[in-house]
This record gives sequence, C-alpha cells and structure tokens, in this order.
Amino acid sequence: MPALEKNAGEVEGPALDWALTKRLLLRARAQWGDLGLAALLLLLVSAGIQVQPLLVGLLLDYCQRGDMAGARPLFMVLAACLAWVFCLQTVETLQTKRLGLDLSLDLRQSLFHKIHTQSLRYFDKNPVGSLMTRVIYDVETLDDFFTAGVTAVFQDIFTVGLIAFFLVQMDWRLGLAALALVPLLLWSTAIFRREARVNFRALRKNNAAMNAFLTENLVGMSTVQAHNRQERNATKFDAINRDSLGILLEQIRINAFFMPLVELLAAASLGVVIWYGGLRHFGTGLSLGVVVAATLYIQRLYEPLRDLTDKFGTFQSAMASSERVFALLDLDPDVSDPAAPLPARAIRGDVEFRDVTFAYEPGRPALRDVSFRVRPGERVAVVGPTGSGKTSLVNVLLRFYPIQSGSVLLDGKPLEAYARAEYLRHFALVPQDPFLFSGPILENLRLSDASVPRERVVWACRQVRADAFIDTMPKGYDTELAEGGSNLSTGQKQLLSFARALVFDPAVLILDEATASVDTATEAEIQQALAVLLEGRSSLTIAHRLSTVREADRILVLKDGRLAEQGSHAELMEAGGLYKGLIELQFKERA
Amino acid sequence: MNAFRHLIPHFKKQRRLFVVGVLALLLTDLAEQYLPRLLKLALDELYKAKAGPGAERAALDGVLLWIGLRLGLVALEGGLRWGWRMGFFGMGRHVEYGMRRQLFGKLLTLDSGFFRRLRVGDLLSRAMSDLVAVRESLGFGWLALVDGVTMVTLTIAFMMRANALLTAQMLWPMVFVPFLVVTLGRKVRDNERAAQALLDSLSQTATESFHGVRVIHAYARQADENRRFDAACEAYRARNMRLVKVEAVYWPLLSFLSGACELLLFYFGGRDLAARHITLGDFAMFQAYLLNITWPVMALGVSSNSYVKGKVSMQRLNEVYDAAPAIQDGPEKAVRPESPGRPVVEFRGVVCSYADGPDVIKGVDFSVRPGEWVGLASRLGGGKSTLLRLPLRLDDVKAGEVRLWGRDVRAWPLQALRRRVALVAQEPFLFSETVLENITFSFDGDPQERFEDAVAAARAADLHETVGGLPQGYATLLGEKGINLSGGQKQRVALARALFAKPDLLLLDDAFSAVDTGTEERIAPALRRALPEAAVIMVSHRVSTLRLCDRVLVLEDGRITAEGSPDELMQQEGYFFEMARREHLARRIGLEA
Repeated sequence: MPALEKNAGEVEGPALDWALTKRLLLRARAQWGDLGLAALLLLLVSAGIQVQPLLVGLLLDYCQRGDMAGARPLFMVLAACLAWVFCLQTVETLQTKRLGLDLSLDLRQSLFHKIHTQSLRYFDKNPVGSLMTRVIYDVETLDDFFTAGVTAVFQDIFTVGLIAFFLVQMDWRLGLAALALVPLLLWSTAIFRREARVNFRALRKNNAAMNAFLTENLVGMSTVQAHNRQERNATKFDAINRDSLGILLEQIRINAFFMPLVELLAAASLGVVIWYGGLRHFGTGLSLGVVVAATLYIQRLYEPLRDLTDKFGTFQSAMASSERVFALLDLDPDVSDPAAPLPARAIRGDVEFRDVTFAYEPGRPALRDVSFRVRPGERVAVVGPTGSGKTSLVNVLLRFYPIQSGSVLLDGKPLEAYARAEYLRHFALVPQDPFLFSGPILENLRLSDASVPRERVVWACRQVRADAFIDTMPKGYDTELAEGGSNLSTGQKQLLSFARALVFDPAVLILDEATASVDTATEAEIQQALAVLLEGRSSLTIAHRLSTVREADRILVLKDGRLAEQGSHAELMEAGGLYKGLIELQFKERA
Repeated sequence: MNAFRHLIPHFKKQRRLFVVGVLALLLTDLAEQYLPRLLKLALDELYKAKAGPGAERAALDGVLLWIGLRLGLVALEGGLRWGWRMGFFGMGRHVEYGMRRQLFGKLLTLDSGFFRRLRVGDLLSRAMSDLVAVRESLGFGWLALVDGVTMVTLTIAFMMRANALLTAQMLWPMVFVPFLVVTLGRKVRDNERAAQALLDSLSQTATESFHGVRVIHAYARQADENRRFDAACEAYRARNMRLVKVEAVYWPLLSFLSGACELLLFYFGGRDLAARHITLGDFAMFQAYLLNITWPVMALGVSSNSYVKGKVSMQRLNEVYDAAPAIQDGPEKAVRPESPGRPVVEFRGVVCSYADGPDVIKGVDFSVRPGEWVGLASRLGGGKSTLLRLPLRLDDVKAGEVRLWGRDVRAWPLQALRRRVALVAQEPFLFSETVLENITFSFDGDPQERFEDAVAAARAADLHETVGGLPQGYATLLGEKGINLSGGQKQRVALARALFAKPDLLLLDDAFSAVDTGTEERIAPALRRALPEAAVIMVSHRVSTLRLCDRVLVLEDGRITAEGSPDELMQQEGYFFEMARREHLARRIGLEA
C-alpha cells in the first residue's frame, strides 16, 4: 500500500483533543461497561503490585526483630498479592484487547460501508490510497491507541498515583523527599519531547518522499530502463536513503541522552531517600523497613513516568487518525435513498431526462437543460466531441453524482424516489475501461452473486463469443484473474465486461464504447454479440462506431453539454444540421 | 540456505560498530552489578550503626559516600549506554541503509517478468516495512541476546558469590522461563503471522473494492461488497482473539515467575535476616539483583520473537535479492552499426508471448531499413506491444531472434543498445519532474545544458505550443504535485522524449491514439525531418496513422498475412482494406474519438 505510509506522515497537532476523545468515547458507548471494568481491573492490578513494597517494609521490620511469627501473615498476604495480580492481569489483558478489537471492527466496517454510500464525487477527490489509510492504518492506530496507549497510560497513572500515595502514607516527610526530583524529570521530559517531535516529523517527511520516489520508479521501471537512467536514479534514491539514515541516527542520539538522564535522576532520588531516611531513622526512630520500602518505590516510580512520555507519539497519531475517521463518518452522502422508496421490482426501462443541468464543479456545467426520452426497448446512441457531456449522461443516470436542476425519470417516476440499489438492479453498465477483480472468471462475471447460476454465465459468454478464449484457459471459468485482469488482453477484458452485463439481464443497458482499445475487426465481432445483448431492452450507447449509430433507433448529438440534435441517422442526414455538417467536413478532408 | 545471507556482508561492514556496542554493553552490564552492592553498603551503614550521635553521624557520612559513588557509577553507565545504543542501533540503521540501497539497485536491473510477479505495493512494503523489521531484529535482537546472556550470567554469578544458597533457593522458578518462551512464545508468533496475513487479504479486498467502485455502484453490489469486507474483518478479529487468549496467559505468566522468585526471597531472605545470617542491605541487594534479571529474561523472549519476524522479512527480501535479471548485457563491448543501407532491425522467426500466456506472435519475419517507416496492423491482443518491446530488450523472444545492425540484440550491451532505440508507449509513463526534465530524460547531465535540443524535440512532437500554455513553460512540474496533462499531451511529451534521444530505431506503440488526426498529420513530416535516417515501426489501430508508413504489415493470428504499401493493401481484399473501409465510413460521420 504505497499511499498508506504517505498519509500516515501527516502527524501533527495535539496529543489530546477533548472533543475528539469525547467522540471516541461516545462511539464506544456500547462498551462503556467493559471500559469501566477494564479500568477497574487495571486499578486492581496496579494496587496489587504497588502495595507490595509497603508490605515488604513491614515484613522486614518483623524479620529484623527476629519475629518470624509476626512476619508469617505478611508473607501470606504477599503470596496472595502475587496470585491476585496474575489472575487479574490475565482477565485485564483479555478485556482490554477484546475491547480494542471490537472497537476497531466496528470502526473499520462502518468506514467501509460509509465509503460505499458516497457518490463518485467523493472517489474523485479521494484517491484509493487515502481511503485505504482510513480503513487500515487509521483503524490500526486507534486500536493501538486503546489497547497499548490508553491502557498503559491508565496503568502508569495508577502506578504513579499509588506509589505517591503509599510513599506519603508510610511517612509523609520521607515521601515528599522521595518525590522532590519528579518536577525536574517532568521538565527534562518536556525538552526531550520537543526534540523527539522535530525528529519524528523529519522522519515522516522523509518516509513520504521515499515512498513517492519508489512508487514512481517501480511503476515506471521500464521507462527508466529504456532510457538508461538506472545509475542516476540510484543516486537520487541514495540521497533520500542517506537522509533517512541521518534522521534515524539523530533519533538514537536523542534517546541515548535522555534515557541516562532519567537513570541519573532515579539514582539521585534513591540517594536522597536513604540519606534522609537514615537521618529520620536516627532522629525519630523511623523504621529501616520503611526506608527500604521507599527505595523500592523509587525504583518503580521512574519507569512509568518515562513510559508516559513515550506515549505522546501514540496519542498524537491517534488524534490525527480519529480526526480523519470522524470526518469521514460524519460525511453525509450527497446521493441518498428516500425514506419510503418506490418498489422497483418490474421496470420497463422508460428513461426520461427533463431539463437536466449538472456540474462536477460549481459554475462549470457539464450538462445544460438536457431533455430526451428513451422508450422501453429503444436503442439510443449518443455522439458528440470529447467533453460534450456524453459520459456525464451516464453518470447522472446511474446517480453517480447528484444533479443541480431538472429531473431524471424512470418509468415516469423521478430516480430519487427509488432506492438506488433497487433500480440499479435493472441497469447494466459496460464501461470504456473494463474493470475486473482478482478472482475466478465466474465470480467476476456474476459479481459474487451466488444466486446467478453458473450456466447463465457460460451462456452469456457464448453469446458474446468470450467462450472461445475462456475454453483455452487451463481452468476455464474457474481461472483466477490477476489484479485488474492483467493476465488478459484488453480485448478479452472487453468481452468479459460485455458478458457481465448480459448475465444480469438488465432492462436498461448503458454502453460506453471503447475507443482506441478495440480495433475495427474485433469490433465487428462484438457488434454481432451486442445485437443479442441489445435485443428487447432500452439502451443508451456512447457511440464511437459507425455501425452502432446506424443501427440505433435514435441518435442524440451533444455539443458543449447541450442536446444539439436528435433523430435517426437518416433523419439527421436529411435535416442537414450539425450531424451532417460534421460528416461533410470529414468527407472533404478525406476524399 | 541461510536466510540472512544478503545481510551478512552489510553486517560485516559495520563490525566496528558492533564491537563497540558489545564492549560498551559488557561494561554496562558489569557496572550494573555494582549498583545493588552500593545500595547494600549504603543501607548497611544505617543497619549496622551503633547508637550514639558520633556513630550516627559517621553512618550518615558513610551513606553519602556510597550513594555518591553510586551516582558516579550511574553517570559512567550513561556514557556506556550511549556507546552501546550507538553501536547496536547505529549498526542496525547503517545496515538498513546499505540493504535498501542494494535493494533499489537490484530492482533497477530486473525485467518486466519480475514486476508482473511482484506488484508495486508489495515491493514497496518490502523496501519499507520489511527492511525496518530486519533492522529491528538486527539491532534490538542482538542487543537483547548479548544483554540477556551477559546480564543473566553476571547477575547470577554475583548473587552466587554473595550468597549461593539463597540464590539457589530463590531463583529456581526461572528454570521454567525458556520452556514458556518456546511453547507459548511460538504460539504467539504463529498467531501474529496468521493475523498479519488476514490483514493483508483484508486490505486487498478493500483496495479492489475502491478501484472497482464504478462497476460496483453501477450493478448496485455495495451490500455484497460490504458483506465480503465484513467477513474479512470478522476473520481478522477472530484470529486476533486467538492471539489475545495466548498473550493473556503468556505475559502475566512470565511476570508471575519473577514474582515467585521475589516471594521466595521474602521467605528465605526474611528467615535469614531474622537469624542474622544476612543484613538488611543484603536483602535489598538481592531484590535489586532480581530486578536486574527479570528484564533480560523477558528480553530473550522478545529477541527470539524479533529474530523470527526479521527472518520472515528477510525471506521476503531475498526474493528480490536473489531474482536473476532475465535480461542482461550481451558479450559485445559496444554497439557497432553496420554500413548504411543495411536493415537496422530484422525480425527472424520471432515467437513471443505476453507474460507466461500462450504465444501471441507465432513466427514473424521482417526488416526495416534506415529511414523506412513500417506500420503494423492487427486485431486485438495481437501481441504487437510485446513485439515492440523486443528490440529494446524490455522483453526477450521465446524463439527466433531480433537482429540490430546484423547482430542478435542479445549480443549488445544493454546501455549502448537502449541509447539507440526509443519506444513510445500508448500510455506513456511520465515522471513527476518538470517538462524539461521529462524530455531530457535520457540525458545524464543538467537538463538546462540541452535546453535547445529539448525545444527542438518538443517542436517536432507538436508540443512546443502546448508547453507555452503551461504556467511555467518547460519548468512546469508534472504529475501528482504538478499539472496533469491530457492523454494526447502525455503522448506528445513521450514522443518528444524519444526524439530528444535521436534514436536509430523509433518504436511507436499506438503512440498517437489520443492525438487527433490533424495533429498527427502535422507531426509526421516533422518526425521525418527530425530523424531522416531512423527506422520507424509504428503500431496503430487507425488506418489514417498507418497510411503515413512506407510499408504496412498485417498481423493476423500471430503471423504476417499481408504486406505492402498502404496503397497496395488498399487494392487487395483483406483485413487492411476492411479496416480502412470501416474507418472511412466512421470518419465520414464524425465518429472518431
């Protein structure tokens, strides 16, 4: 996934955003009980661990006095703590990880479903790579945020809090002395964090650059090789790669400085505890067991504090990810179904455009006041120069995009009155560039719809003469197609695309004829099959072939998004308008 | 075969860092052994102090001395830590750098067959994530191993020296750790790998679904797509749940074992303390030692984990490192064109196929002389594109031979060969660089030096005017971060790029398909003027394009079935005639795309 890392690079902004955190929590509403349980378990685990030094201190005081009978119950309690921690840790791990998995399952599925409710405008604006970032990377980040980030932070906070509590509880003066250096640690942490962030950002940027460079060179490898650019591009790559090395080495240096600093502060605190503890031991008779317990607490205090700073990056990425995730989840589809859709079981295939105006971008209409009708069983061809709005007709008819004004009627009712999925069952699209999924030919043609029998697929292939090449394949209809059907020729892909349309027996067929990719002779073969395909249904064909136009019942001539003329080939020739003019111009040039 | 064979040379190059790392780590681990001792000494000053102000003062001074020393030792360790961090992690990162460099270098030599097998996304994840996994297994893996072994050995040795009996009494539960790591640890890894595979297939499902959105929406298959994706997500979750169940026992059990050791210390150590066999300081020291071995023991588990991950990644990388470039330099040192008048290129009994499919060209013979334009007309999937890739050796023949200047192309050195042959594809690939950089793509120096030549090439390709209309002219950036050209404009940039190289053989693979007829007719004479001596082979679906040629070959079912000048072919009944007739009719009504 090339674009994955690329988008993951946009990590900036705060580590904790309350609005987003609130939304995340609201999203997990169903799991609040589980969340509370997980937090409780974490607290109980931490308490079971952090109470131990206190008990050890007491135990030591008994032992020092030689009072083993007094020590025994304490020992039993410590043993119970160990068992307690083990059991609860197991339950807690199960609980938090399951929570994370549930949450990411829900998010991932919702995101995917949401994406597929969007119109094509959304897909135009968001490349597949960035959609994949949402569905895969962002969700993984949030899972990580919950299971590793939030849990660890809770545990760290509980740990630090409990240690501080027990320290002060044992002896508040010694406790405060032990904690005296914590502010210094927090301060140095802040400095470290700034350094680390700069480095992190540089690394992300470098990663994005490396990704972009590699993607381009791998996709265009034969161009690189054909122009003998290997050495030069290797040098270019080396510069990026070297940058990456420099940034990574800097990262080690930053860490190698910070980590020992923490150790040093811990050692200093330990010294303070022993010395001041000794002073109080001699002065007020503070027990040495308490002093030892305090040293144990100090040894446990710095690890969670350091860990908390490590979590900063996780939180920052999580906030960026959840922002993107919610932005998508909040997005209302610009094409939606009515609350009470009309039934669309039987469709005759009567299509009418009434004063349709449509623009991809505001202010630049692709269709202007277009009106026409395709009656049931009628074959209509659309012609016109590039950019005249031919494809836009299709996009509007399939509700790939919403229209600005006018209406499109199907069997006399506006398209918006039907559930989109319902009425589209009666449509079939043959796009200019056939799209094939990886998987068996059979599933490709029936689009994994198990209710379509195999025989129907075979029959459809025979109709369009795709059976000839399928039969030569080792596994016939069960032959696995590669991603994008790359193990087929363009023509073969085209034939499969025809067969797919035929499989679904649509009332309305929409055909966007291939231009350069189909040569004239193969086209003739396909035309024959198309006659079968077109039989008995309405069709709208964006035509590039003479035969298509000739056999059409009616021709729509588009120019600059307007319907300039319509009629049969003969009528239009006789009318002597744009259609005829175009032909005569060409005729003079060629004659 | 050793999975790490391609890593070893890089590793060897960094052995100095490795040695520094190991030395610094050994010293750190050694220094680490004295910290618990100094803690003990400080505590024992208090524990052993006699009553009385003088003794108490002396004890507190003693504490100051020991903790001062301890602080000094921690500071020293800080320096040593720097050493091993730079040593181990630095080594890992240098190796990563070297291996990535080698990887890209290797990719540059591989042929189209390889790139059909391993897709771009797949290769990218190898170049990025797999290399990071290898780096981590190297840096962290070695660290954990060296540290784990020395730390555990040294600590146990120091503990034994201090009190062998107590050591044995408290440490025996650790015996179970290796057993745990082997059994449960492996289960963790297996499940992790299975989960990763499921995530990959889930991504695959989503990618395709998004790419195929037009078809999916047109056939209203969203619900079905959702179901497929949901099922993939459920499977991924289920596998992760199995992983979690193992993990929920594995990690707590490891801490349980070290907790058990601690409990034994409380019991036996407490008894010894009560009996005055050991001091309070000893007790604290042993607890500190125990902390010292807990991490390395776990690290050994992590280390074997990262080793396995690194190995899996390495095996994926080896597929690239070990790939043999199917197309390599021939034995000749330089290309030596023969005397003028002889054919530039000859196809002799050429048989080839697309990828590993059936033969698409089943024996083709023809030759092209300098200055001659030969057109190829054929049905779909006729293998013409594959045929045009042969003279450049982007692919090789299955049988027969392609000769350039009288010698099999496979005899010439690749670089020299490709400097003389240029191919313009129907869907050309342009780089996200400036227009100028794209045109001068075959030139190794600073593009500005050849600005005039680039403009001349652009003029011949009818591109100059178009470039004039771009915001920064020839300095306009193309591609993702720049300007997206139309199909026809891209084709003309690619044509200019080919003309700039002044090839002896120019191959045009439907290179005018997105250019309108008028432009095409302007380009043709300019092309002839720019490259008067070049042999040209052009494949086209359009008769209008083929008519620009001196000679047209009709390819049917992988063989040449007709040959002649366009006019001659027009006189004969046959494929070309049929094609021309249809196209002519279509043209008459203005249906050309």
